[in-house]
Amino acid sequence: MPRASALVLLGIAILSSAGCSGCNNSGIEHKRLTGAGATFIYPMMSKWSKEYEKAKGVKIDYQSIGSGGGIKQMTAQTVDFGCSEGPLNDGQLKEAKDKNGDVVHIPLAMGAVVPAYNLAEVKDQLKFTGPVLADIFLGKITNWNDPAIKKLNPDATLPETKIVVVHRSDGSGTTYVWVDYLSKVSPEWKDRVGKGTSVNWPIGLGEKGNENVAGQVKRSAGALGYVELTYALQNKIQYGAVQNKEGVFVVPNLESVSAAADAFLTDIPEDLRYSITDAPGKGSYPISGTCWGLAYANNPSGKGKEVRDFLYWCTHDGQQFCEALHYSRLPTRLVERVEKRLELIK
Amino acid sequence: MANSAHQASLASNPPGSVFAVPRSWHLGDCLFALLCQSAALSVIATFAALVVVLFWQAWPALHTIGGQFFTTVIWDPEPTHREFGALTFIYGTVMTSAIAMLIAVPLGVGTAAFLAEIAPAWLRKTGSFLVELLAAIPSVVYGFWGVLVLAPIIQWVITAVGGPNQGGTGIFSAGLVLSIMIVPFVAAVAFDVCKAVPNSQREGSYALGATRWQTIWSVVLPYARPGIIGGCFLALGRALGETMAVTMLIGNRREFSLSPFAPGYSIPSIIANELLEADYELYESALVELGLVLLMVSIGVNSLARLLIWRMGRPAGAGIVASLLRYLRPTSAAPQVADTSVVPASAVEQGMRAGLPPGAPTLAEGAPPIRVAGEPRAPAEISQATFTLIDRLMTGVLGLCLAISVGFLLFILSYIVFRGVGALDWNFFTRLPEPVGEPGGGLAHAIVGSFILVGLAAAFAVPLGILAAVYLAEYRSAWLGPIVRFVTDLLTGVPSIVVGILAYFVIVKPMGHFSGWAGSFALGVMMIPIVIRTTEEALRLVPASLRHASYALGASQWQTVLKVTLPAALPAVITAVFLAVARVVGETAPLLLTAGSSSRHWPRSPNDWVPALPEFIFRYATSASEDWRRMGWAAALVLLAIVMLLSLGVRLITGRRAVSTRQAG
Repeated sequence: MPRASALVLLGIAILSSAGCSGCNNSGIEHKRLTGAGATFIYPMMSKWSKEYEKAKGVKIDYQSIGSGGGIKQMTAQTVDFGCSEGPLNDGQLKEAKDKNGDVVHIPLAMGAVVPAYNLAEVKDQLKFTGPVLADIFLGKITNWNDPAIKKLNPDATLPETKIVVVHRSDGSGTTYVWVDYLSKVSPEWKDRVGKGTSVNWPIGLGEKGNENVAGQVKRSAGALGYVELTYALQNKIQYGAVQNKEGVFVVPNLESVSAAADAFLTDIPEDLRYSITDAPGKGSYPISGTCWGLAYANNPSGKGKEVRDFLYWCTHDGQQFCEALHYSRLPTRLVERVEKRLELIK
Repeated sequence: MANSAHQASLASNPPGSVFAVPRSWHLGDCLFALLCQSAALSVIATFAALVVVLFWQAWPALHTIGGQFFTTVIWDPEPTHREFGALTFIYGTVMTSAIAMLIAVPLGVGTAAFLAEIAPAWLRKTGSFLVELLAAIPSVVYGFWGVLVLAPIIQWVITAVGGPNQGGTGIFSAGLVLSIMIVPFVAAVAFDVCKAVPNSQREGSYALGATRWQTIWSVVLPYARPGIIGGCFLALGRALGETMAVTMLIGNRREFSLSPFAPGYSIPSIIANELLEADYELYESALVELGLVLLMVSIGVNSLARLLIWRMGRPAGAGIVASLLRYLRPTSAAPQVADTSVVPASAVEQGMRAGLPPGAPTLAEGAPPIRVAGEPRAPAEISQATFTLIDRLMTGVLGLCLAISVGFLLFILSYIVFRGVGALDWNFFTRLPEPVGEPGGGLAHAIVGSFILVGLAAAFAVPLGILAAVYLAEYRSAWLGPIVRFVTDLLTGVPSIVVGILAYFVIVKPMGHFSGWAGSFALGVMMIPIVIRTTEEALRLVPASLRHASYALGASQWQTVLKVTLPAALPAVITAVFLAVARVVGETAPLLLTAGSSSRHWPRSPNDWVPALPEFIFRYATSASEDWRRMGWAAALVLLAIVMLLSLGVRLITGRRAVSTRQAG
């Protein structure tokens, strides 16, 4: 019998100790922060997480569950900070205030949400306008060779294929930026669908996260979805140029996003909850977004200082990694205002 | 297999009969009995907690939304709209399961019939083993394979017939992958009950001149019908609650569409996608209500399944040969009057449908055929050769079922091995994941994390399960025993996402953060019923004489259990642990809600986020990044290898002996 029970115990011990052999390879107790939210920022966050650990020895765990999840989990204090490309609305702010006080919005990086498509036969970059994109997502334009698309791309050989619309299935800041723009340019969209991190899509396939939207677009010929620029570039997915407020077709890239941010800089409110979609200025890419880090001003878990340090590092030293991943740096004038807001986190 | 043995032992050992030996109570006995009893009670408590917590959390939605929840199709959680109609998800769940059942039931039963009735011994052995392997593949791996291999094929077909382009996803695709997933469940149960059909039934049928196919179709399968239907219900329960494979393939579209080929949404998928982001009470509550619906349906389906399988244990089908005899009596008993006997056409039709020759020509050589009222064509024209042909044909069809089931396994396995081996390298086992776009990363931390999660789960589920099993097998309380056994059966069928919801509300929310504890708790809850069932069966197979000998030597009951009964059943107990580990190591859905399993660092303590291999498979599988998909294939291969090794281990142990009396000394 002792032999028997020893065997069972041994089995369990092996299972759990095999587990723990790699628990901590260095003896030093590392600090950890947890975050959750936008998939938009996930590639950036995984880079920051690696670099921040090198620089400060603090480990960052980030779960890319979508902006909606980020707001919810941050508010519920399941994580130390959240990330979202849609700022908290007034209702959410009030709910958070009732729970734990004020929430501070810290812009971390900017990026472009791009119309990504899969048309092997089209070699040149397609051009879109806001209303055409809205009509496609409303289900009013169903085929790639629709006259409305043809008119914008007279030289392209557009196939007769049906357009497979791909959108997010989870609450998403990328969605927020996308529909925020569509609401600004299409009255019908504004009435029928509106804006938010998760909306009632008239048509299309839902996928969880930027990764999966990109994956679905890449897998399906004739697909059109919207993803953060870096997802399109890294996965070698075609994406289009979009006509901005001044009538110019602008290719999404670092400069055109910065231009959009610059155009709005003077109008940015005190609490840094702003929108830079449909920005004025010839060089502005109209579907640009910001990803905010979200944290309670009075951090209930006692990690306020760590969160503040991390967000400070992201908005300063961390900015140098932005370009490589196709995010735009924060404009310097914005960073100055960010510093003031950071002081609120305790 | 397990189940019928279980039932058989129940029948042969009525409660209390073994322990008629009077003995005085020792303190040790009292304590041990109490320990076992509390383990058994804690199983009931866990299940009660599941029901109560879900009801409690779903109450705001139940109260506010009411019946509209089940009848409307608009699901619009925007804070300003707050409309919650779940019909789309209910429809998606029902349709995917229905498609899966339509494909899996004939295929599974055919496979089982071929293996049990036709296949030679060597094929039966390997075939049933391969089918069991198919059952062990984690659902996330099926989903991964489905998205990257099956979906493009389906889209190709859809395009070829002029259908819309939807990337190969949709209700049908999800149903198809589900069917591949549940075929082994149907086949395994059907195989067991077919084998349980007494040989006298077959002999009787052959004696009446029936061919092999006729025997299978009209004797074996009808006899086994309650058991097979029970097995189908078990598979249905599994299909209804499946999360990962469906989420990856159904298209996740909230818009309602009746077409089974359109993209849809299922209940488990929407819970997995939205529970963590539901930002106000009613929204969260509506999602929990969906979980509650799923729980209730699974309880209903499982109760029905158990009832049917339990009925199988009784001689329900015994009358079939007798009634066949009665039906055929005119020809066999009195051939000379057969000429004038008029058999109702409907009865002949029934006989034809059953595949029996109305004239049963081989029965009595030269017996005149029955004349059928209102039937111009004499049945005798259907010659013996035709029946032989049908027999050959149907044997071929059954063989084909096996070939398809096993073919899928080989296809999936070889594809994953092919892609996985190419992607595996040393880094995979030693390094942490690199940021997107930087090559050379690995998933070492996730392998370690998975071991921690499963190890912790086993650490509480295994002792608890064994003690509860000891209670069931050795103490045999007349009232508590059946309840615990029934609850254990129900717990087996609870969808993993529902267990995830429980862990989320009971551990993640009160603790205020995601943690390995919460993940292990969810996995452990899923392990408990497997450990209990397998262990109890083994304990019951330990001969009573061993216990009597122990008592005769003056041992108390707890000493007997610990030193005689459990050691004798040790191989089976280890099997139980292996089975349970194999079942949960690939589990993904509950981890999505609990463990923070996407962590990119070495796990530090169970109190922190603990990474897990299946979650990385899920994340990498559907991503567009070439690097990540490569890692996904490698991870799928590693996970598959772990599960297969565990299954092989189970096979090796049980292959030797379920109960070894040798070790009891």
